[in-house]
Amino acid sequence: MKRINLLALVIFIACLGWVFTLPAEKREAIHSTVLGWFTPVFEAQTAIEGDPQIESDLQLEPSVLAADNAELRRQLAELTIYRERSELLQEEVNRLNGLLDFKISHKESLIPARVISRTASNWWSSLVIDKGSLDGVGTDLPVRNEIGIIGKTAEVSPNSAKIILLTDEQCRVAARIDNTNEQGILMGSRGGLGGGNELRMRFLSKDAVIPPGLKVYSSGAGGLFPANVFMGTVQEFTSGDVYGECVVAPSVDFGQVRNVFVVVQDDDILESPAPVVPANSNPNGSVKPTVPGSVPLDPDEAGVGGYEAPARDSEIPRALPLNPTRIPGGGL
Amino acid sequence: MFLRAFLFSVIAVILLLCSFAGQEFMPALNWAQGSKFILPVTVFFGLAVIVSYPVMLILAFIMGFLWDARHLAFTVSGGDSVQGSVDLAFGYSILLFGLTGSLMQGIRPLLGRGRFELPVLMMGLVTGVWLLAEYLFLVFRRGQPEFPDTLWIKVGSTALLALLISPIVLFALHTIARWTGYEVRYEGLSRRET
Repeated sequence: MKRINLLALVIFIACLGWVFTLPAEKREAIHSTVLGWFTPVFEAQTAIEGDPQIESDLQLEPSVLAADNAELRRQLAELTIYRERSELLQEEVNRLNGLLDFKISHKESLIPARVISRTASNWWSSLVIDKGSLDGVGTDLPVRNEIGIIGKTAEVSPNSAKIILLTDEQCRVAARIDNTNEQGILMGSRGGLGGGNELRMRFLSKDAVIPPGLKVYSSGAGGLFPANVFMGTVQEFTSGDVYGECVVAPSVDFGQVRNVFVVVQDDDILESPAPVVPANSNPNGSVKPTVPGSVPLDPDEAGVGGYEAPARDSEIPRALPLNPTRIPGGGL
Repeated sequence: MFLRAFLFSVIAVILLLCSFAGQEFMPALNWAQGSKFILPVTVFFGLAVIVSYPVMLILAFIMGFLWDARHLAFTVSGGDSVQGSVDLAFGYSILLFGLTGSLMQGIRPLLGRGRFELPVLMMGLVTGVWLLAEYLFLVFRRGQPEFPDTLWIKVGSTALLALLISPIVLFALHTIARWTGYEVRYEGLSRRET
C-alpha cells in the first residue's frame, strides 16, 4: 500500500473515532442543522408536487366552492361551540382531579402543520413537517391528525421537524383494547417492511380472548401520547409462550397524511400525591361533610371538599409511567 | 496533473451534495417495499471507482456523515416504553461507505481500460450489500433477528434499480472526468517486477 493511502486511512479512522464519540447534544445539533439545510429542498419538492386536494378543488365550479365554503363555515361555528364546551369540561375534570389530589391537569394546544417530505430513508419511517422550534415544536411531542396518532417528533430545526411514524418499530405507544382489560405496546414493523399497513400490539396476556374487529385506543399509560385516541382495529390475535400479540390495522393511512397537529402539553403534571390530612378531618381520619358548593377551586387545596375521599392507592386506577423493565424485550 | 485531480475531486464533492438534494425528489416504489433509486449511494459508488483512494475516503466521510445526519433518526425516547436511546451510532454509515468504497476501488483498472460491465454489476451488487449491512446493523442493535421475505424483496429491488441507473451515472462521471482532463489510473496494489 502506498504511503499516502496509508496516511489517508489513518486520518479516516481517526475522524471516524471522533464522530463515534460525539456527545448526544452535538449529534442532536448536527441532525437539526442538516434538517434545516434540507428544508428549502422539501419546500421545493412540495411546491413541485402540489397538493392534489387543492388541485382537484380548483377544477370545481365557483358555485360548488361557495356551497362548500358555506358548509365549512357552518361546521367551523359548530366546532367552535363544541370546543368551548370541551374546554369547560376539561377545566372541570382538572378541578375534580385536583380534589382527588391527582394533580393531573391537561392543557393541550395543537400546532397545525403540513407534511413537506416523506422520508427517503431505507429503514426508518418518518415525515418532515413545516413547523419547527420557532413555532414551538420540540422533540418527543405526540403528533396526530383528526383520525388518530401519527407518531412523535424527533429532531427539530427552526422551520421544520422530523416525525417518527407509528409504523416505525422505534415509535411505541401504550395502548388498550376496547371492551377488554388488555393493555400492551403498539409498534410498527421492523424497517417499515410490509408497507406500513399493519401494526403489532405486543405484551398482551397469552390467554386473552381477542376477536378480530375490536378497536384499539391509546391508554396514555406511558405519559407521552394522549389517552383514548383511536389507533386501529384488531385483525388477528396470536398467543405465544410468554405473551400474546395482535396484528392491528392502523386507523390512519400514513401514505395519505398531508396535515397533522403537534400536541403540546402546556401543563401536564403527574405527581405522586403526598398523604393529605384534611383540615376538617376528625382525629379518627374521617372527613366532615361540608356544604356542596364550598369546594375550593384551587387543586392545591384538595381534600377539603364535601366528600369522603376513598383510599386512593387501592381504589382509584392511576396513570403511571410504564416501566420498560417489566416488559419482556421492552427496553433496549 | 495534480490540479486536474483536484478540480475533479471538487466537482465530485459538489456532485455528491447535489445528489442528496436530488434524492428528495425520488419516488418510492410501494409495490417493491418502498425501494427507490438511491442517488447519493449510486453516485458515491460511481465516484469510488474513478477517484484515488484518499479522495474516496474523503467522499466516504462526507457521504456517511450527511447520510446519518439526514436519515438516522435521533430519538430522545422510543415512545411510551423505551427511554433515552439512539437507534444506531451516528457515524456507522461512514464506516460502511469506507468499506464498500474500498471494495469498489478494486475494480479501478477495468474502468481505466474502458470496461464498464463489471463496474456496473459491482455498483448494483455493492448497493445491495450496503443495504443489507445497514439492516444487519439495525438487527444487531435492536435484537430479535427477523429476516422476512419482504426484506429480500427490498434489498433485491434496490440493488436492481442501482444496477439500472449505474451505467448512466458512470457514463456521466466518465464524461466529466474527460472534460476536466482527469485520467482514471490504478494506484493501488501492484505486482512488483523483480
